[in-house]
Amino acid sequence: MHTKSVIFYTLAAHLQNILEDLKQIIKESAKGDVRAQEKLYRMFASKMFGVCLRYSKDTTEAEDNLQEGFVKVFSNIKSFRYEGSFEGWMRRIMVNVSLEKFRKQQIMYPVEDVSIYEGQHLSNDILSDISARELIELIQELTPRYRMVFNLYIMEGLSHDEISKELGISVGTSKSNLARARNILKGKVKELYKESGQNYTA
Amino acid sequence: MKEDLNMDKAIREKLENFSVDPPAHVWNNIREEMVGKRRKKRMAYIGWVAAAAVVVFAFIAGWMMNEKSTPLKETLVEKQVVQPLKEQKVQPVENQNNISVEDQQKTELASAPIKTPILPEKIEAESLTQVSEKGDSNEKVLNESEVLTRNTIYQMLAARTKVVFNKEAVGLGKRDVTEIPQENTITLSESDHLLIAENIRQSDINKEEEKGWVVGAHVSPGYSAHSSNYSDRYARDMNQVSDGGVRNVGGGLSVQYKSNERLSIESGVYYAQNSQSKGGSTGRLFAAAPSMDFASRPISEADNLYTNAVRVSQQGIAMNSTAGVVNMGAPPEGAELSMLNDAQKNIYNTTLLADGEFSQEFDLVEIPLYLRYKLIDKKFGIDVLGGVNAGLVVGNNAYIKNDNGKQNVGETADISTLNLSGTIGLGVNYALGKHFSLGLEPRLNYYLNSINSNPDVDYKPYRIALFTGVYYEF
Repeated sequence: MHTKSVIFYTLAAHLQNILEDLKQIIKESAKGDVRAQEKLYRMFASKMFGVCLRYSKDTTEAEDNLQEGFVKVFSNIKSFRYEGSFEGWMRRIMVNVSLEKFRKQQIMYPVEDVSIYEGQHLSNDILSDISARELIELIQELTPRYRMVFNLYIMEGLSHDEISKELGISVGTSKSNLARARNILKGKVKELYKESGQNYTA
Repeated sequence: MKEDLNMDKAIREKLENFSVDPPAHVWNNIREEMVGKRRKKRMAYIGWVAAAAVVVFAFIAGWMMNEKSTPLKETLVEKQVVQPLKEQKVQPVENQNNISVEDQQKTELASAPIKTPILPEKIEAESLTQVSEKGDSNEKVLNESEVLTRNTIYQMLAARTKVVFNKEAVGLGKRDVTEIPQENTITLSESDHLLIAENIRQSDINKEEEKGWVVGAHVSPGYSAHSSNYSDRYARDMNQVSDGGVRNVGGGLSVQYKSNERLSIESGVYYAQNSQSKGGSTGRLFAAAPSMDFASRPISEADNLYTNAVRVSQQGIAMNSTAGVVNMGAPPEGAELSMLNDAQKNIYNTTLLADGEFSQEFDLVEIPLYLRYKLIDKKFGIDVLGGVNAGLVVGNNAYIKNDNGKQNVGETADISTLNLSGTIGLGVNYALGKHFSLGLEPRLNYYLNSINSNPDVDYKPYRIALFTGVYYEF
């Protein structure tokens, strides 16, 4: 029992140290300390790159967004108030970079004919087998707006109302875009596994 | 619906903590972008400081000039003149000039113990001074090393990948045709990305170098002249104005800070001369007391005379001349000075006659504040520049050059030590290498205020000079 509590407090202290370290690094980054900024980057880059990848059509675009996002993070880090998680704050910046880009290039993209995927059923087993990397590649194949709606709804937890405001579309469009995105993904997952020789039925 | 929810949840769980290490060049790019931003901020700051400095300078200049050009009231003159006349009973001296109150006071204060009691004559309204003048000049030329643009880098890379492709296609010939172009044209390898990032970084460093300092050394052969105006009173006592300019050589050092590729702020220190002369080898200097009727000049070769009013006393000789009143301590060698007896019917008691060329020379040290802008920024470049100089008169001499040599006969009175001039220039420069460049730059330097503070004299020197120089860029 005694040992347990020692372990617990040791862990808690350790965690506390990590948080204090982070706070210190954030402070130094805000002052423009390049080494602190690099530390911060090393801590969060891979996670944020994962976020950017979901929102981009390919790796190159994700790299660009990551770069732009981090520049924004460092430029605005002074305004971080230590309320809420730093990671969440960073992530919001990354998502905003993608959103801005999307708004800028809101040219009409050809909307994929989704009828072939209509009414797809997908077993959860497939989803549990597919790797995150594969799944992201499928998401990247979506048209920009489907990808946006899908990410904002499922990953960021935004409501259709919020999404419609962010993207400048109607709530109905948001809903139907989400449904189509889901169907397309399902179809693609199926195709993927058919091609790789596995056979799944609903 | 339920299926959808399950699917959403499954996807969220799968992706929530998904992380991938980004390629290394991303961090390099971020760092470069941050450095660039900081630099921009710094530049903006320097820009404001420079602008503020110019405004302050202009303000001071305007203030100085206004003060100087205020004409002095002459209301009290008659009264003031009477006083010294009474004192000087020994000699009947002609004076017809008015002394302003202020000048009178100045004279008394400055030289009261020595001059006042002895002087039999009246002194013209002037305070004494030393003068000198010089043309000044500054110059600088930026040379900058070539910077590779990103485009160039990409082009080089494109070329590089093409070569690889050809080699592989021709030499090895075993890779799939489809595979090779894909690899070579679409996907840049990580090492290529690093290379690009490094190149960009290098080119940024080069740019940073362009923001650095440039020093220059200059020689400036030029032609100096002046524009001048005189009050009636003063002009009446001056028979001729030198209007010719004089060729001379100046020089100096410049230092410039390049705030970006094209714009730089420049300062330094330059030496120049301003002078004018009258007479020449065949001319003669002739000076007579103010009441002298010049039409009856005694010499037949009157046309060659440089003739000005003169006042002679034991203190010396004062003569109205182009840049102001010249005070000579003694008659120049070779000059004939004749003092006529008061009893004679004329009162033009004194005349001075000397062979030779009379000149007034001012040595000027100028501290410039210029903005320089590169119109063409290549190996062979063209610049424009403009700005103001603080012109310090450090030398003030009057000379007569005749058979006895060039004699320093005195100095010009009332010359202000600190003056303001404006400069514009247009230059070409040629880069000899990464650090050195040569420049050739005609400049016009014009004094904005009269360097003579006597309200009767408005004397503004200007100088056109060809600044040649060598620049070193750090």
